[in-house]
Amino acid sequence: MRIHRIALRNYRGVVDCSIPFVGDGVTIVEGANEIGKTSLTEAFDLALEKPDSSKDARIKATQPVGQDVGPEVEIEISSGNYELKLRKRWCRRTETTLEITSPRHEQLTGRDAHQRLRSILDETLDWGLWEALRVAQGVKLTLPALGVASLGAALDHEATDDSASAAQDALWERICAERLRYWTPTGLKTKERQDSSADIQEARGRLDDLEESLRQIERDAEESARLAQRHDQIQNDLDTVRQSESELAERWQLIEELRRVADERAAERGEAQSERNARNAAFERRAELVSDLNGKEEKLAAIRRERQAAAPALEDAERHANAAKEDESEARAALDVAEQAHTRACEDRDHHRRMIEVAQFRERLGRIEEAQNQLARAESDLESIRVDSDLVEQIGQAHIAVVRAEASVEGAAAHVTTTAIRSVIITVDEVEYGLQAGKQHDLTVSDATEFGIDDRATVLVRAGAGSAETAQRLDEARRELRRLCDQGDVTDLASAQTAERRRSSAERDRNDARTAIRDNLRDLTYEELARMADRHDRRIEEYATRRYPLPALPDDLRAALALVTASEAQVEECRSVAEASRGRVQRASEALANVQLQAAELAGELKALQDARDAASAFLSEARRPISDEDLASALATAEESLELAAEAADAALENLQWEEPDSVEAQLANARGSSRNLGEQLHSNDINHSELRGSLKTRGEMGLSGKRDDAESELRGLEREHDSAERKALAAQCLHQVFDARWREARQKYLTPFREGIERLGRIVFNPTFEVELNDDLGIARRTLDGATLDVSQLSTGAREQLGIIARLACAAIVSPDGGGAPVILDDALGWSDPSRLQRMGAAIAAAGNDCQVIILTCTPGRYAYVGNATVVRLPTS
Amino acid sequence: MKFLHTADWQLGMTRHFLRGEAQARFSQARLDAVRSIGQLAVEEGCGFVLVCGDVFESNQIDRQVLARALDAMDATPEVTFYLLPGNHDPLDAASIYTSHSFSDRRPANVVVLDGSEPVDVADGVELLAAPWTSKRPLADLVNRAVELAGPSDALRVVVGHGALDARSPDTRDPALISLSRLEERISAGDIHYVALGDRHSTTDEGSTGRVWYSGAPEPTRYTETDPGNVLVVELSECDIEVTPHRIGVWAFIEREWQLASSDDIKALEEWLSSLEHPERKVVKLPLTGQISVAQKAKLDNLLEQQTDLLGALEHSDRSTDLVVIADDADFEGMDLTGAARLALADLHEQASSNDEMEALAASDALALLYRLSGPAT
Repeated sequence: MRIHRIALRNYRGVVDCSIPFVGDGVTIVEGANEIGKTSLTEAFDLALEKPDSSKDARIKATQPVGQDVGPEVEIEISSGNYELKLRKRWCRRTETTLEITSPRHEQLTGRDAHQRLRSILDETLDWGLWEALRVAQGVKLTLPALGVASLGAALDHEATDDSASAAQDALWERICAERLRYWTPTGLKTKERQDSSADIQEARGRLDDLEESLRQIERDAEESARLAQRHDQIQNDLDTVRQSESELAERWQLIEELRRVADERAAERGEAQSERNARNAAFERRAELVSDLNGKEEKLAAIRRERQAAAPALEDAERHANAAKEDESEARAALDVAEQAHTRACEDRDHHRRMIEVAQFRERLGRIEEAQNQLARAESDLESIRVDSDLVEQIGQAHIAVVRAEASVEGAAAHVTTTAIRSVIITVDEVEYGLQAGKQHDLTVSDATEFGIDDRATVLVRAGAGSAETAQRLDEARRELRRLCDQGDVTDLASAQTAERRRSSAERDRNDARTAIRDNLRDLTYEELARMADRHDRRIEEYATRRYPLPALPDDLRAALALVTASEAQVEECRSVAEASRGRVQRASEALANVQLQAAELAGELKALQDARDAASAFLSEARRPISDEDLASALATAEESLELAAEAADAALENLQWEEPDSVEAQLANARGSSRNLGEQLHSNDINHSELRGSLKTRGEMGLSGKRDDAESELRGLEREHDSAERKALAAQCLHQVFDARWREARQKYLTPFREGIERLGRIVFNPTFEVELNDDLGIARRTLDGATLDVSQLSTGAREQLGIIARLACAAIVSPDGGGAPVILDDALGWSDPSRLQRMGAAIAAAGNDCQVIILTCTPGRYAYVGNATVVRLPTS
Repeated sequence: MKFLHTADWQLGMTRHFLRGEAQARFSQARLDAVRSIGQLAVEEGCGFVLVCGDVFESNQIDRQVLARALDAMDATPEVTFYLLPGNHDPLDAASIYTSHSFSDRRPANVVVLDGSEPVDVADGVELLAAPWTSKRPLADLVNRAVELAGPSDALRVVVGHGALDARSPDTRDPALISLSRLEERISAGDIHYVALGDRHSTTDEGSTGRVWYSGAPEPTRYTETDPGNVLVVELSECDIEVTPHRIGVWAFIEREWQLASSDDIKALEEWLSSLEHPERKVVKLPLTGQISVAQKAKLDNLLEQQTDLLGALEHSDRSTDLVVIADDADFEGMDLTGAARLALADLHEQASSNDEMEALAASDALALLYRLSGPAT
């Protein structure tokens, strides 16, 4: 469809306005807000849709306010091969006129006109496309859904030139439906198929169980046969064993009898043996008694001999012991005397030693007292002397300074030498000196001295310059010397040196005295030393009083020491003798005790033996009274003969028993009885098992399991057949679907190519040469690729989405528009989100699309579409 | 002396390829055969019926089947049925013959041959039975029974079950029955007829004309050559006449069909339609050849219909046996264009793949496409 002209009269605020449009190309309708721009599209829609009789509120809303006129619209369009002009007036003096100019002329009015218009449009206009290609003002911007019939048809035409798509779509639907009978949309098995597999598993499980039960019956039947066979075997063995047991029992009875006889014989032999043993014991006891008595007599004689031999030794020992004791008494007395002499010698020695020590103490005390006196003197001297070596050194220095100063004064002074020709009195500074003739008087003047000779003349002598200063230094030196001498309480250097020597001497004395006191006191005080001397004096005096006068006190210490040594040797000698005699006494006593003990023992033994001998003799006599030794021997011989006979009889009986092999027969019999019992138990157990098994088999046989097994197998086979059939159909449906799906996808891609290329051609003008799009099956844009980056359209900016939407419409219109088909692209104030540079490029794209379709742009912003190069601009008149 | 020789009733047998009530009909037919045997025995004046083993499919069959079988034998009380335990129903501890169900319901005219002692069945006529006491006997039971019997002047009929050594490839099987030894005994006049069971096909064994397998009274598998008979035996010391009588009403038919055209399919259809009593026919069709998708669809339709009519219909679905070639003609008029036509070509290619699974799936997919592309039904 192409819109060639729209005219409005009395429509809303528009009184009269007619707008022409370019057929294939771009028409831009410019106008300020609210001057009827949007009314154009609204009026066009109402003209197509609403009959003049319509009471639709939208129609009423278009009637000018306060005027008694009906809104009127006149349009000129071409659609398909129709060209027509329509005029409609609603509300007042309603009217519809339709004039068709091509392909043949028609003129219609009223309802017929409206219906004819609708039929032409239904025939030639894809209403879906008509809606899709419009971008209305203020409508939310979305990408268009261009899955419209005319675009599909155009693409079909491009792709395959295929006119049977409807039939094929129906086929595809049936293929999909068939597939969905067996597969879920996501490609999984349907629940029915899964259930079928589960049913088969269950049926197979039931069959397996039944077959196992049947196999068990077979096994049990075989086991039953085996048990029957086993019964026969055991019964056979049992019979054999019982026969053997019976034979062995008979033999055992005979053996029992033989054993009884043998036991009797053995008992008889035992009795004979006991009798013989008793006789033998009595005989042996009698012999022992005789032998015992003889032995005791022999021992008694031997002890008597021994006692006689031991008597002299006892006497010797007693004599030796007594002699030794006497020697020991003497030696002990001598030792006492020697020890007393030694004690006295020691006391004498100590007495002399104390006397010497007292003298020494007294001497030390005297030396200490002397030293104390010397110390006191020295300290007194030291206190009176105020000079020490340092002061002497300082005085020495001062003395030298004075000497030097004096030399300087003399050097600098005037020297006046007066030689008396005759004796004269000379006066120097008012001091007179008599000078004999021929004698000289020397005078040194350091300052100014008045010099007179007699009373005849006075001479004033003045020293030269500097002498006064020298003299002053001399005074100072002398004052220093005097100060130092006063400090040391001496007159000059010489007396200072003397005092210093005295001081050194006093210090030496003091030190010597201290040394002497220390040496004589040692580690004692003076008082302690004095007390010790006193104590010694007292002890000396006491000893002199106490001592017995004889023998006399030795003269001196040396003599006392000699006496001590001598007495000590005497004591040692006496002690040695005493020790020796004590040892002899002890040995002699021990020897005597031994001899006495042996004698006592012999006496005791003799007594005991005599008693034992007497007892044995009495016992033997008592024993011989009932039976003599000879009778005893005779009885023993008789018992031994009886024993020999009994032993022969017992051996014979035992031999008879052994001949019958009792152990072997016993073992065999026990074994036969054990086997019999064992086999009996086995037979019983076997029969019980067999009986139970047969009972069980009969019970199970009544269950008719093979019939059930057959039923279960039939069920399984049936299920498997159904399952296999369904699976085969599922695979066929899947195969068919896959093959067709692959081919249809491929075809769709091919089918979409012209549309995609159209979008990309325009898009590359707007964006850049890297622009690509991907379409979805609904002919919408799914993704955009730019500079290698692919984005889902939902990720794009509003402006980019709007631009893509317009480009898609333009491309769509370009495809469907040849030969007067399709519909115009109507943009009502679109591209509000585009920046100027993008607007410029959009202008170029719109212009390019305008070559192949009709584009109508309504805008209140004239500059926005300034870049649409080949557009025809129509300005709405202001009302 | 006249008697009826039969065997291998295998009552309680289930054939798993029989679907739905076909199995019930099959089972009923086998019970009906028992009644027919009794009636035939009466009609033919037979003194007794020898059932030579495998009377029952198993010792564990449904006791209802046992009850019906005993009831069927009881229908002709004048005829005594001598039942020999065979390998399917051996006389072991689980034997059906010693079960309460059997002993409680056994009619007077039913006798189990459960011992090796000769059984007098008429004046001067003895049966020498060789019952199976386990599923795996370790000896030639038949010849042993003959040997144990000792000499006699009576007419002796040996009742046995099992494979003859002359027929069995497994020479190590100790249970094989020695035909030559039997024939020696026959020649010696010790025995006069050997009634055998186990082989389901009616067979005269050896050269004496006195050793027979009666065959099963109703067929059980495709490989049986002459099943469905019983034998009426008229025996004297020096003469014998054995007459087979058909009892069976079911048939197992295996026939290979090579299909290459619609005509072949039509011929198959005609053949199947020509089968009498289709409900008692078990048919196996190994199909080979090469047909189009449309023909395959037609064939499938035919087989589906026949499956409902026949006792059972088995056929091969292997793509290597019956190749389905997708012919463009199959899809003409279906307006398959563009992508659909390319997809069709893809399926054609897959259908001729060497991968059997893939080829089968593609072939089935073509058939499905054929169905989906056609008019909605």
